[in-house]
Amino acid sequence: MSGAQVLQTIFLWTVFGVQHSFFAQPYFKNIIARIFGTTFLNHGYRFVYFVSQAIVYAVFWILIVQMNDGQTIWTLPPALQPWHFGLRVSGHLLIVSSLLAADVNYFTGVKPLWIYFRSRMRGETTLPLESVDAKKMSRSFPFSMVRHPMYLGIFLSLLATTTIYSEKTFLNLFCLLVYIELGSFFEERQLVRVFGRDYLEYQEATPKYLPLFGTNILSQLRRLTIRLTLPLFWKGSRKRTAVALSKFATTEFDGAWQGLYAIENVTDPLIRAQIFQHSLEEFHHGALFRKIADKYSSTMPGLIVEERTPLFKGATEVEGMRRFYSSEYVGEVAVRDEFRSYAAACPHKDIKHLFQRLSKDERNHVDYTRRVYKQVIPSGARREYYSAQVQLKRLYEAWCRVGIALGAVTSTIVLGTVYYLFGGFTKISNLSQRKMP
Amino acid sequence: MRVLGISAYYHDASATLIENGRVIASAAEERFTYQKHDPNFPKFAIDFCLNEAGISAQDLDAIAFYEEPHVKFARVLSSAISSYPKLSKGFVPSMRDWLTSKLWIKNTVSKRLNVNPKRIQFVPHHLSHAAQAFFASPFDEAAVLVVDAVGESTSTSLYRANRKSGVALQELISISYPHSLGLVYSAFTAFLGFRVNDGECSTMALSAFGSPVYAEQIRKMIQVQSDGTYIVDKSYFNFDELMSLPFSKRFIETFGVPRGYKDPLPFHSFSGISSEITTEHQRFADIAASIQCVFEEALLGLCKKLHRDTGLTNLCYAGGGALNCVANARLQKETSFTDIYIPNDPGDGGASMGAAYFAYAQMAGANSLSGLAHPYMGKAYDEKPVIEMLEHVHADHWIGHREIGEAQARGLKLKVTEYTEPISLATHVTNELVEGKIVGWYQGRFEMGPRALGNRSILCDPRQTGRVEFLSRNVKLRAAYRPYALSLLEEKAGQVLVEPPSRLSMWMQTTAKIKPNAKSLVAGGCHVDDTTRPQVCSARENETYHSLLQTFYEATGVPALLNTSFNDSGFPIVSSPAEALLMFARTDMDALALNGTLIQKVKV
Repeated sequence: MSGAQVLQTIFLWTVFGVQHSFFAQPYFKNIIARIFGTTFLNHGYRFVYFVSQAIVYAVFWILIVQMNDGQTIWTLPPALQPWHFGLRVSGHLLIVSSLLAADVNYFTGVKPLWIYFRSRMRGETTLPLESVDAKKMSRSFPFSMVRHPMYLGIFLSLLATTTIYSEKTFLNLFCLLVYIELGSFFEERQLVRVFGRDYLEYQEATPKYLPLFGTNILSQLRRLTIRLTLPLFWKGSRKRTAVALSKFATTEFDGAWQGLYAIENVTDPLIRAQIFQHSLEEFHHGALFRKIADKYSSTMPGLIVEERTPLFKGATEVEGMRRFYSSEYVGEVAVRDEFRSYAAACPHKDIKHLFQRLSKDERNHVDYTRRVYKQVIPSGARREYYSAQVQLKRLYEAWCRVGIALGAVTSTIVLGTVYYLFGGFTKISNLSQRKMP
Repeated sequence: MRVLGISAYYHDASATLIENGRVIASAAEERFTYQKHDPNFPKFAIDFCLNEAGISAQDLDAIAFYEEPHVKFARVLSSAISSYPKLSKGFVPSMRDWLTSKLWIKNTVSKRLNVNPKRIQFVPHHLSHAAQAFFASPFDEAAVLVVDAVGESTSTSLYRANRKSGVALQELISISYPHSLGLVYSAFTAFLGFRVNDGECSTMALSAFGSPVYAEQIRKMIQVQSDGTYIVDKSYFNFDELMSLPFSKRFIETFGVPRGYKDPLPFHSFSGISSEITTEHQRFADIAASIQCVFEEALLGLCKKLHRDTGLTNLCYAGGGALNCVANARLQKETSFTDIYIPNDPGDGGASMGAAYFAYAQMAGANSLSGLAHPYMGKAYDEKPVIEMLEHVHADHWIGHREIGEAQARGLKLKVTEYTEPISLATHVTNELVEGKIVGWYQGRFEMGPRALGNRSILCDPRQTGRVEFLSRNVKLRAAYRPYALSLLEEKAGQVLVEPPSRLSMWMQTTAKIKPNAKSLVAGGCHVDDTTRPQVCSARENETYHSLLQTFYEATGVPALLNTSFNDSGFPIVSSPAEALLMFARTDMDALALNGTLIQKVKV
């Protein structure tokens, strides 16, 4: 492809992208409402937007198709063709299922328009608002898997439309990726405004494009394990329940301590006050867990004393804050989700109630840590970097725990054998010596 | 010359730094990690000590660890094998601990502090205790007694100590595991439903409510020999499982069913005999009184032997057994020692100081060491950062985050007043106390050891028993049978105490009888046997606290304040202002004096 064609392609994608995003922005919609009235905005604008998009897309695609393919970079080997086919089908299925899950009639603007005409035909003076009620977040499949299944479907479809990958194909794929990333950024910003905390939690729990990627896989597995095993393990043993609750208490007390440690290193009085309040709540949670553990315990619980490792560390206060809040935020999200799982699966009413109560607090903790985390690291990409570091650390710690557990099993076998063999031998030897005159 | 002492990996890890013969800093790890009896490597305590001297670990001439791990390992291993197959459950976790961490202390310390392993030395456990007791004391020559659970293998040891002698600490006799007064006392503590290595003070408190009716049976377990030493009949005990079930079937056959840790004990230290007390409750009190009695007898036997063997009149005493202030009172009265010194933290927490002292004495001579001037060797914090944040703190939110204390109506505000003159603060705090308020008193460097001596204390007017009960119920979550201690004005202590204060009265290390006519003045700090654990405070040692006692005395005519440690139930004494504020927020404390600033809860 020539340089002019590359620029032309980029220009076309830019025009398409800007038009697509710009017409969906609230300030543009406000202008439409002022010119054509709110009735048009609520009932007609979405249909017009969809039709105009379809026309623009058709023109855009005709122009793209007419362009020179350029050199062939890669040809699909026959062995990969079943996978290629699978990708194409998956892409199409994702687009269709997304449309269905998101309500295709609303998506195309037919539903609001139909409601308008139906009301007019019935002679109704007021228009029902159900058409403009977009405040429904779909969390069913495929939105339960990824946040942007339609974009993923479009990308997969485009990826698998051809078996000969030319310069043009790669350029278009690249432009699509850029468009998707920018488009989804603005869309999500808007969705956070509309749905608030619900969408933020959805973001935390669901990967953006690729299933199982970008969220804490370990945390998901853990939640699943809790739901499957807790009724069995806790129902059968009060002692086991008490030990587990004591560990929760220890974790919460550690959370409180982390805050108290951070207070000594933070200079901003407002942030210090926020950390203090947070520590107070964590301490309270610890005390509640300790109290309920005591209720379930028939023998005196052992002291759990763990080696403290401050989350607030770094050469400067800024770095310390970044590390502290990245760990706090990731940790709070995991705790909130875990507590919800415990609340759902716990077989004991009082403990279930406690988890439900604490989940609400933890939800507020997530809001608080998220807010300050954004203040401390305004750049989203940088936050991702810090969060990924924390996730990796947690993954490593989990791995270490597995290693320790395996080590414990091995050492039990080895040391147990040594004890029984060597101890037995010594005992027999002592007894024989005693019998000797 | 600088020597760092470390104790860790059993309970109460700590660190102490000695520079040019003087203790610069000493603190337990629990104060920095807010976990009671924290046994982990004392990294925060070490950082504090090094920062206090403005040095790094590379500037240290030696690092002394408070015991010899390989010797202790040999004892643990041989004990496990000899009791085969009884210890099958405990052997694996114990060996795992030893083989993965406890045995490689030198390596751990060297790695963590980045120092040459050659600079690290091990000091035998009992020598660490003995060195602390003697070198921290003001004596040039003394007899030294160490009584604890068990070190490497020694449980009791007797020394002759002389600063000017080539061998400063000369061991006279030692008693080895399993013959251990400390372990026996702990086994009874477990039997009475208290936590081992923590609840021994509860056994001691409970003993005041009983009579030693089981003393004869216990004398069969602890047989005091004619020479003053003792032997323990091991068939009653299972010391290998000290933390879970340290007594045997034979023990239960002798004393009956052990007390469950949740079972109530409706004794009250100052409000008389309760009708709720049953024969079962009384049985436990009698057992506590009996073990206390026999423990004291064994201790007296050891002291008599020590006096006989050394001919000295000064006694230095350390080890966990030295925390038993009721027994210490008998040592004062019934032995020939005229002056007794017990370090402020005689248990394992203070052993880091002993290890450092011993290593220093080995290198520079015992004469170069100075005694400990005061117990306030912990960290001092600036309260300003916490005060600054208070304007952003919503005290109203506190109420929703507390599981103890009384629910208060919304509308709680904080009133913050800064004082430049200590006397003004003392006057204001006195007014609060007279009004029946409970005040947190936080000043300067924190104390070493388990006792709050006026720098991290919760104070109350001892006349107002109703408020004292409120303190137990809504602030400390403290069992009513445990008595509170009193801080007394040195100049006026005679108005309250029957006998003149001794060295042991400075740091709450003994009990003392209260004069009948003073009982109503200090009722809240008076135990059922009309004794108290006094802290006789002098202006030399703690000027700020002394001035508060003086002001209180001038306002009320009472030369004493009820003083209890500034900690939440199950947590160590607070260290930083933020920790103090946390406890203030979570409980029904009314005011908090953070150095020169008074914070009050005000309802609007």
